[in-house]
Amino acid sequence: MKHSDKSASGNNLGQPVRNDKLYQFVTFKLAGGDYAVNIEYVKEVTITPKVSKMPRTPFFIKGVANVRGDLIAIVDLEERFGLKSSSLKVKDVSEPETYTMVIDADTYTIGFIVKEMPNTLVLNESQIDRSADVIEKAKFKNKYITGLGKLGDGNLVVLLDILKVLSKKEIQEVSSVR
Amino acid sequence: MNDRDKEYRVIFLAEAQQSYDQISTDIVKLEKDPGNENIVDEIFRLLHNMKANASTMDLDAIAELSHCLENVFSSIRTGELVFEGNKVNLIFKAIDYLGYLINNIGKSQRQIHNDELLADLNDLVVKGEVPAEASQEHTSSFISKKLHLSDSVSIPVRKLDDLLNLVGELIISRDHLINFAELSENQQMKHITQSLSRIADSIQETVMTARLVTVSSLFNKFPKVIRDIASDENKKVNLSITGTDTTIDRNVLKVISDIMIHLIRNAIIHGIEDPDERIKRKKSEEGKVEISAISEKGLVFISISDDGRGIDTKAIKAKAIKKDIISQSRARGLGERETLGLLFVPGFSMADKVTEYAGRGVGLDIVKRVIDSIGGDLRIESKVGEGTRFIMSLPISMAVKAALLFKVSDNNFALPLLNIHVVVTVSRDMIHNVGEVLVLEHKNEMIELIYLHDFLFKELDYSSHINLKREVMDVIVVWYNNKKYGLVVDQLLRQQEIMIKPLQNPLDDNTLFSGITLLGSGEVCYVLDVAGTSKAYEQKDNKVQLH
Repeated sequence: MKHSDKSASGNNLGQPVRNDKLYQFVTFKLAGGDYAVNIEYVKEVTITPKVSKMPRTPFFIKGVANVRGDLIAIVDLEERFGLKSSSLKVKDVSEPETYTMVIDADTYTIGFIVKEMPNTLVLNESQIDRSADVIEKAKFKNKYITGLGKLGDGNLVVLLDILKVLSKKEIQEVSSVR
Repeated sequence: MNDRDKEYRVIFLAEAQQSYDQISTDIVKLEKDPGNENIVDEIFRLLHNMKANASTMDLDAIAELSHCLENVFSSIRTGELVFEGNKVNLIFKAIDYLGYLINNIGKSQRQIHNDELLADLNDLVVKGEVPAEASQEHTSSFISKKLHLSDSVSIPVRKLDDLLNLVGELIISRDHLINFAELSENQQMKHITQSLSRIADSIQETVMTARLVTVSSLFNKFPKVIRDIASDENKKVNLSITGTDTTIDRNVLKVISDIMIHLIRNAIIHGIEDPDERIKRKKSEEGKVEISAISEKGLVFISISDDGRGIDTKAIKAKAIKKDIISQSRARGLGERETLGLLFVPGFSMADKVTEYAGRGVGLDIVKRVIDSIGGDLRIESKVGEGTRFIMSLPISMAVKAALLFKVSDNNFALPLLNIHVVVTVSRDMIHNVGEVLVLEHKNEMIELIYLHDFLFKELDYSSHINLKREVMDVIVVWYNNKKYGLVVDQLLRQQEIMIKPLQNPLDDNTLFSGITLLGSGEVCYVLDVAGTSKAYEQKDNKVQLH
């Protein structure tokens, strides 16, 4: 299920203004909200394979799975962002309706669990709000939020800097406040 | 000529041909661009190395000629000599002769000094010009018109690493296929997988052996090291080295080279007594240091022993208590072997005298950590007054390891055989609960048990109260820090070679595991790290303060 189709969907603003820089994202839902990451980091989306729990890892790391012969860590972003309590058993993770977004960070590969099939999205510069004020209203510290995308239907999508979501420092902080 | 010399000769020949080709190329470049200092420097360096290598190989003709040429280029470097005119011809001629000597290394009757040429070259350096009577033919009769290509190829280690990784993938795929073939009732399929199996095994074997080097390349450096340290310390030391033909992965050898030097220094500085003291103790005046290597069962054992004063376990205990590494009550209960293990605890250094070589706070804990990092093990044996021996057990290769697979709850785990002392099956009544610690009585020893099921999967307040559901249990006994631990597993599976992949972010700060691997069934398997596991266990107990 490789994403070869990178055309705009959900971009209801009609033709973007010329000379306006375009950005491509992959959007996904977490606990009902819309989030997006830059498409260049997304390697593929696959049905979540069997995840085997790795002992003594932070609670939001569900374990390791075999994706096409690559052994990658599987992370539950909802738990990572504290959007729900981490009472999920590994078994629930492997339910057939979850998908895994495989992210290629610069030095490692990692998988994020999402409940619904992710989509692609094209935004131009004018549709992205990077002002800190709006971002403050989001639930997170703005370290790994790069901005907010405004969709045509008035919905907002939170743009994440996926590399910062999993920086060592962040992980330690989240793991220590359980 | 023995095998070792032959091997060296092959290596020298390959390098010499490479250098000669480089010199030939450079000299042509230099003719076009006589002022280029970089090229001159390069040629000078190549000649200098050739001279040094040839003299160690007793190839006098090559050494002498390289030496004269080196002098010429030294003069060109300093500007005393200009690379032009008939000097160029003479230098070309000399380099051609060098090529002739190199290509005929195997034929000793052709290894002759060309005195006329040497004299001309010396004149060139001394007088700065070519003597009038020097022959001016550019090409000479002794040059064969055949081009020689070396029989050896030098390959970057990086490429061999990649090759080995691919071999690992191949082995994993092979295991998949074997599983599949067993399920299918097809005879032909079985034959195909069997032959594929054989081929994959030979490929692995070949790639592994391509990376192997003999330990002699490292051990040959020790006599001088030992002589230097001994003379600094005013001690007399006699060194014996055995098993230099033992082969080991180049990367492993690289990792342990500093460690060995450190252990040898320790042996001379802390082990061997001063000559007077030795005589008083009725020992021979000369101390003995023995270094030996031996390979068995896919492992390499390297030991360094001395017949010096040995390690006083009482002193270790006293020091450990003083440094708050261990409580007094616990110290009383420690056996000799476990006490020696305290030497590996970070921050513990027995050195009281700071010398150039030891006691700079760099202790055995660093040595131990480095050996842990490559999945090896280090043990100490010592008798006061008689001597000390350090034994390293090392993997022959870094990536592919023989391992024992087992299950804990539903997950697969592997433990490198290297760390395993013995596997025992015990009944419940052999296990005792001694003040919150589970102990197994095995052959008159008390071995502390780690009940992996609770240890790995109980999130909080891990207790060693074993949920002994089974009457009979399998225990894997491992060594760490001179101490034995028994790991209670749920189910032993089998022994097999695994290709260990390192953990990557965000898992890589997990110290319990050294890596992961994929089983033939497609399941994930975690490779347990003995060092990390025993440290975590000791921390839980808060008996030994490890940070």
